[in-house]
Amino acid sequence: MNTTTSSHFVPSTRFEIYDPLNQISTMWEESFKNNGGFYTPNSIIIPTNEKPDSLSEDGTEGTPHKFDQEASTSRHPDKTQRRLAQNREAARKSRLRKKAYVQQLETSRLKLIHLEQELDRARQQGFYASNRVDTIPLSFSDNMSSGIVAFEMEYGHWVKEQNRQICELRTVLNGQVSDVELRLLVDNAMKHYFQLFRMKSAAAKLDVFYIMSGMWKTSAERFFLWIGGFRPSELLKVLLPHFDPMVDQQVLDVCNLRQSCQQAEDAVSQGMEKLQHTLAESVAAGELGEGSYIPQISCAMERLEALVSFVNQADHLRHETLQQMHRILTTRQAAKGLLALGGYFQRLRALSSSWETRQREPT
Amino acid sequence: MQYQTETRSSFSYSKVNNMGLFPSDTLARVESMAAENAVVIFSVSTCCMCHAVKGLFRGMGVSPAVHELDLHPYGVEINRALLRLLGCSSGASTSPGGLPVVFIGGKMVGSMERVMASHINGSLVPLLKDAGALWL
Repeated sequence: MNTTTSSHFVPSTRFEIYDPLNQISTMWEESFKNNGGFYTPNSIIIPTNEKPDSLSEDGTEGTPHKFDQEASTSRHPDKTQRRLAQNREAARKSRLRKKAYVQQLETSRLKLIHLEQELDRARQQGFYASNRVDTIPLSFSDNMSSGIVAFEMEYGHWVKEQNRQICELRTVLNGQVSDVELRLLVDNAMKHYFQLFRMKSAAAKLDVFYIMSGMWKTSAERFFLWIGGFRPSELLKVLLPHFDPMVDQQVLDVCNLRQSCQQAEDAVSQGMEKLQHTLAESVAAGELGEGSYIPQISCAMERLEALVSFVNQADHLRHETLQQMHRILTTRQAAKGLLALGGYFQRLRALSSSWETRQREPT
Repeated sequence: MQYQTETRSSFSYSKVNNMGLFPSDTLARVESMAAENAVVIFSVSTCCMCHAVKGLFRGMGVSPAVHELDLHPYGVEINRALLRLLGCSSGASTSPGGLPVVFIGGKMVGSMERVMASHINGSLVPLLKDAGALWL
């Protein structure tokens, strides 16, 4: 029968023989491990020093006790000493093990944080790079890249809606349609373009170079790029044949529009050229042997702010040109013009994808 | 060139009353500068948008009077006055710093955005003709 708490009684596997002293020290070990080194009376037996005198050395036959600590203590003091020493040793070893374990935990925790950060960064870079053909060193802040990703997604939706509107216009113009319905379609198409200008304006604030390079457009569209979009004067050239017949006043108005559009375009282009020159000068400034290039960079950064306003002015010019066209033309003429414009961009996009497919075909 | 003195003085009256803190002498200075020529441009010598607006008028055959505020003794106050005038009107400038600002026939047309919009919608040329800056 066991008077000890059996949950902590660990049979000593190291010893073939039954050894009460070692069993006790193992129990001590266990309790230290489980309780962090604190002495808890519940889990171990407290060896009592006093035993009734009835127990004699040879009196164990009748009721054998497994732990004869009292007898040992009083009769074998050196065994007690040995036991205590073993206990101390076990406790010391346990403390060392615990320290090592905690250190391992700390290191793992730091490593985990580091890995999570790397994963975040890689995920963002992967997103941003997915639409690009050329490799660009990616060192964007979170706001910038997520904003541009959002813009690209929005633009995808914009193109889908654009295609749907063009399809609708084509169907409607081929058949019979009321002027009211046609005007509605024309107004929607105009609003759709204006929405794109707003989207671009927001994206330009995040990354003006992205907008300036037309990164969201197909390659053929980029070929015709002028300050982040189409050239208003080109637009008018594309649309003009679709307005016939026109009354005299319209002819005059269109002529004036073409001239003012060209002049405005030229003025903005001149401003852009000056910006390029001054930016190049800022970057080129400085002599050999100068330690820091920071002053040139910060000066150039100020000039880049002006680039955003140029992108906005170019879009504003596109907006105003479309608006004026709408004013000059009848509803039906405007519908035909919008259909022609939408079709033009569709064909440019188709040209881009045909070209890309052709490039991949084996010769 | 036609000067509508009544509207000009009433213009200055209402502006001074609306901007109590504003020194009226700077405003008067702006007005007199704006009245000097048919087309007056307040500009900054290093600003590229200002360069664009100058190019626009010259390309149309108009010779504007240009005041480079960064080189002007009272440039800072004039700039501040112009910003307030722009803020009062509905058009907001997209250029940093508010310039360029264009006056035609003594009246404020506004920033580059306004000028371009009025050119595209066909209202700029008649305005220039009325101010005597353009002849047929």
